[in-house]
Amino acid sequence: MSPRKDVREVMLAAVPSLRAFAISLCGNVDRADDLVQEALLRAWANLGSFQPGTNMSAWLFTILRNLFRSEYRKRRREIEDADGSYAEQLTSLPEQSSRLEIDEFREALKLLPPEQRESLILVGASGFSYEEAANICGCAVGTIKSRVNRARSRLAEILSIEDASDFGPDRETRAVVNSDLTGTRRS
Amino acid sequence: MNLAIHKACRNTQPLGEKDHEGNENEPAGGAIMNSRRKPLRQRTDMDMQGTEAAPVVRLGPEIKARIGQQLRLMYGEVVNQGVPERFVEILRGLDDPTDGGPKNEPS
Repeated sequence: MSPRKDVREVMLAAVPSLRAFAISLCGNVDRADDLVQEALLRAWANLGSFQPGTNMSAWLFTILRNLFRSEYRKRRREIEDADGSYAEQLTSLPEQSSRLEIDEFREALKLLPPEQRESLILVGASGFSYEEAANICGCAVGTIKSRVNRARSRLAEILSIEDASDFGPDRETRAVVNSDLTGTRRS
Repeated sequence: MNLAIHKACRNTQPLGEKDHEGNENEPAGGAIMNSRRKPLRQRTDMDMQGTEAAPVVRLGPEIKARIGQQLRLMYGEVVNQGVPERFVEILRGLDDPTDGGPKNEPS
């Protein structure tokens, strides 16, 4: 088995997370998939510059991010997609209540400056350490930490997440729980 | 007069410090009393400027957890779609320059 075959497997395994990252960067599934494809091809063509023993997933994320940044600079005005386009493009929809919640969150995320958004996603969703995220974004670890904190604060503000009273079951679940309780009392 | 201005300037200096962290310096009794305090939520103009240097509101662990949960939900929604066929084909079709041979045969 050639080492390149192993590389293919690693790249394939990274695709779902690369797509999730790309979609959260550009807000459009088709564009995100193009971005992932371009990143994979570029990575393949530049395998020689990959340091064996380092995190290949982080390397792929770096390539994808750089591609997005250069595209973003070129096509700044088109990047932000129209409302709801993401949901329309989704093939499998989760149940309605979490669908709405995710959409709301996605919209809130779009309001963040790109640097804050990517930092929060890399650390909070992609599972990279602050150090890895700093390498991917080419900045200091402290900068990533600061961006992540700022992003969280802004999101809490936009989504009006205030305190413990806001937690626990969402409205729909509470409604179901409450009706269950009334049902029990009645029977 | 100059001295007064100097003094005023000096007095403004410590304003940038995180004064709302003062709670942590309270004696043990106070800390226990505060252990259930609600997360601070101070909306100030400074916080909203979004510059790299501006101070950030300290968020309670519940808020961080909540945002983290939403993030992973959003992210997981895409990750759970797996690898679209398109990418399987792209990777399968990549030429292997070290082999110099033809593309892998489609399965």
